[in-house]
Amino acid sequence: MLHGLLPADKNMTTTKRLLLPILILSLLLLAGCGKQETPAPVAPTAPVEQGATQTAPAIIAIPTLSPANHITPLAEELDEKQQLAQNVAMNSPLLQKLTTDPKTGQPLRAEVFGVYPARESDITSESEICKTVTCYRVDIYNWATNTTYVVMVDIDNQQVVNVDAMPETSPELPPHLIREAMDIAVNAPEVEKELGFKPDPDAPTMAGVKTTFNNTACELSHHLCVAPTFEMKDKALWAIVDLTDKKLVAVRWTDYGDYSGGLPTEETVERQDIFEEYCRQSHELEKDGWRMDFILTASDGLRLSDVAFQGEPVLRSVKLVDYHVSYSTQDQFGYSDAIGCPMFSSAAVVAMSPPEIGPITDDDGQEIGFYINQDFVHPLWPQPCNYRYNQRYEFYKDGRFRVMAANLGRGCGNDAVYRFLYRIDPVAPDGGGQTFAQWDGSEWKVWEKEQWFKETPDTPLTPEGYLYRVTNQDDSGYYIEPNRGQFGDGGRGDNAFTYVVKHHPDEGDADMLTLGVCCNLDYRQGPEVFIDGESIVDADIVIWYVPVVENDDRPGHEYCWADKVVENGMYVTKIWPCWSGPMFIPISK
Amino acid sequence: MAVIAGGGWWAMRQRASEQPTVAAVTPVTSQSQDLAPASTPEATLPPNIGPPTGCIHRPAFVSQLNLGDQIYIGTNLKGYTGLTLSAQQPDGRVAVYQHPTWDDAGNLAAYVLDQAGNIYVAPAPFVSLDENLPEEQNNIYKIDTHTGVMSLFIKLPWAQPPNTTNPYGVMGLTYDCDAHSLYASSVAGSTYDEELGRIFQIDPATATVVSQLDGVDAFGLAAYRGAAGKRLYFGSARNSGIRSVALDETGALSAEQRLEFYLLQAPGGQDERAKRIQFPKRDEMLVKGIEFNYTLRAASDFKEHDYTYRYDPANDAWEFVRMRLREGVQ
Repeated sequence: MLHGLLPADKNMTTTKRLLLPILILSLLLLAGCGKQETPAPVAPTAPVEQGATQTAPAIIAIPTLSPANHITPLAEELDEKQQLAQNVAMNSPLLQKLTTDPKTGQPLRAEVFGVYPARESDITSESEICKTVTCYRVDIYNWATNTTYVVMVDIDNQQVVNVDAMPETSPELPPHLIREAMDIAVNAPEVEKELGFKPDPDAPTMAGVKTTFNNTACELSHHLCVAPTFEMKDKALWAIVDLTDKKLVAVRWTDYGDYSGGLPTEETVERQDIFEEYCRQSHELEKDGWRMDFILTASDGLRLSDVAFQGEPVLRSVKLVDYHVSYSTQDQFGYSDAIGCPMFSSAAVVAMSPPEIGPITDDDGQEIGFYINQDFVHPLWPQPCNYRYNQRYEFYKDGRFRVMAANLGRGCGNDAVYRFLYRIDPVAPDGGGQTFAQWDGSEWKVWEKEQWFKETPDTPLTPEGYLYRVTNQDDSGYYIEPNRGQFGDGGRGDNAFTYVVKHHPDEGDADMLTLGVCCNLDYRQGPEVFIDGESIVDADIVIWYVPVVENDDRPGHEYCWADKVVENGMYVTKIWPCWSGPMFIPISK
Repeated sequence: MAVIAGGGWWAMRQRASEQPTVAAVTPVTSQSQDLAPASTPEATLPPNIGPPTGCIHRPAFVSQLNLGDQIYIGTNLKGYTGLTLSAQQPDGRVAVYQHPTWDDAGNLAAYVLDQAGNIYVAPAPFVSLDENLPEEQNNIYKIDTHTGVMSLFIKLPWAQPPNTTNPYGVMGLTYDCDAHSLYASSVAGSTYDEELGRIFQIDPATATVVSQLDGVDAFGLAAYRGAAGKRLYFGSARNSGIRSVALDETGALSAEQRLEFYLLQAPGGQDERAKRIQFPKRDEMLVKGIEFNYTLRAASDFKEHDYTYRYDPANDAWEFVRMRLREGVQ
């Protein structure tokens, strides 16, 4: 039987003690494991005397490792007893099971981090037998799940006595990983820049790797992270190193004994840096004939403003006010998720990485424009009822631009209907009015007054695929091409609601509170409250564009979905984004 | 992300002879815990030491509901907005009662009872603001002990109104049976740069603010009579610190704060905020810590840590005892 035990010097909580054995017991039952494990096949051994006391029998031979074993042994020199304990632990069917993906049977990356004679503090009621036999403690780390297994091995009888699993916890690092972490930190340009000199390889201390460096240090990636710390006169530089990906994550100064600022971890550093850099100040971007300002808002995602092409104003602003998600099989169940800054915001799904700006290339690899992408993610994604959203803007050298958004799963079920609330505020180059028109199959029909329209697959488009048109007084302007899956991003069509209203500053120029409710599937998505019959001919207008997208988890048809798969012994998240958003094409005069 | 909504549970017992009539039956999936103060005195402590909460009384209207023997108050029951009463039935299912007014203020979080059984409860946004407008988050509502009707009790004054960069207002509530005072913490109007929160002492009889402490973003709070007098302990909303201020005989708040400890200092301690402070035993402080960044939270698993500290009367200080993880799905 497996028990949830923990040595007294480990930070194991009572709840974990209660929950983990249940989890592991379930695995045991699935594995058909009995109360006592059958020792692995071994070379001939001396018979074990029944009722053996503290006098350990002589060790005759060390069991060989099973050929199918996928756990990496400790890369240090071990004495005979350590070797024996390690091999018994590694051969244990339970440990093999715990380090194997339960769905696919693929082995996960796991490694022995330490083998020690069991101390008195390691022995608990579940491993009480270790008071009468010789026990060793074997620490095995599962890199894929960021879990530590503390394995108590009775080397007299060559069997596993107890296994304690500790999620999101790393054991004491073996010397080779300590050296690796030091090397990464010492050679990182960021560390040299902060210190003002390249540190000596022996200068960093690994003080409190286990205790002063929180075991949730890499909360977002769920990786094994440590913090080599460079201690200066009155402060210390923490270099957060991700040993799973073998890279420096961040550096952060701390004052000795000051707990008010918290401890530097992957998440806290990211949160702080993004807030300081992108939520508190606007950035100007000029590229490929375009210029704009961008800023992360408190609840309306990444907002672009004063967007111009070749010096001519195009958009006053554009942003994404809310994601509505409802679940079709559950009446009125869903959420209105705002996206935005990771601190001091009314966003439920926040930015945990900076905006990404990159090139757009055509099939020949020629650069034809650029994109700005902003990721918003819940830290526990892709676990159920956790969400990830992307906002993306594409700008092309020929004057086209596309406003985009996607859900990346996984949500609370496979019956989700997502609606993304884009607010697009176009402006005429001359500051004059604009006119909105819709293609009716034969001609452009001007929208005289504020109204909405729901696009369907049968809605007529021009031969070029355009549905709407925004024109300035001189007949320049933009066509609007809805997404019907033609953009090569995997999107399957928007079937969007489009609302056009007269611009009023108090109808969304500033950060907006939640607009509309989560679960209406008809035109009542929120923007309809701004429709009150005003004329929008030759007027300052605002376009609300609300795609309606359904998720799918069927194998081979996944959409708005995410799942974890095993690659090279590590869990990686596979995503099936559902991109939405219309393309704006300049009208040739 | 914050797990603000859902102040936990408070258990109430009623006479065994009362028969339950089930208003609505819903299996409770969220974790619950009996948070009633323990009555076992610690022999070694002087009798005057302990939390001033002994007068707390069950609401009178509960006896009309025939819900069962042990009733729980909750503000985070899945599928419900606002406050609920729950009671386990003999068949194992859970009966849930919600007065029609209990969802009028949207999602609720902190609550406390007084000596008459009135329930004071504060709103807090959960996932979105559609049911919790920022300007209403500095309100406290009162559920009348006799009628069970929830109505606005007081609109607390803010230094700046809540807004989209900080949609929170009242964060914590507690009641002092000595001074018959209600205490509330609020972070309304605070920004990243300015700590503009307040702690209020409120007279429940007149619904007026008696004294207040400015410039403090506090979360959970609770009063305690220690060896050197009574203090109001509160968790900072901006870091893992637990601080306190002295209370005089009228319950008025003193201006001088004292840092007690940081949750982060505990072995395995996290950079969490003290959502709730309680005294389950006369010499024991229980702090419920959560992650909080002045943002809303997505619906998902929650993770909290319970920190237990023991009172040292000789030094009028608290010593760490243990930490526990609590996980669940909301």
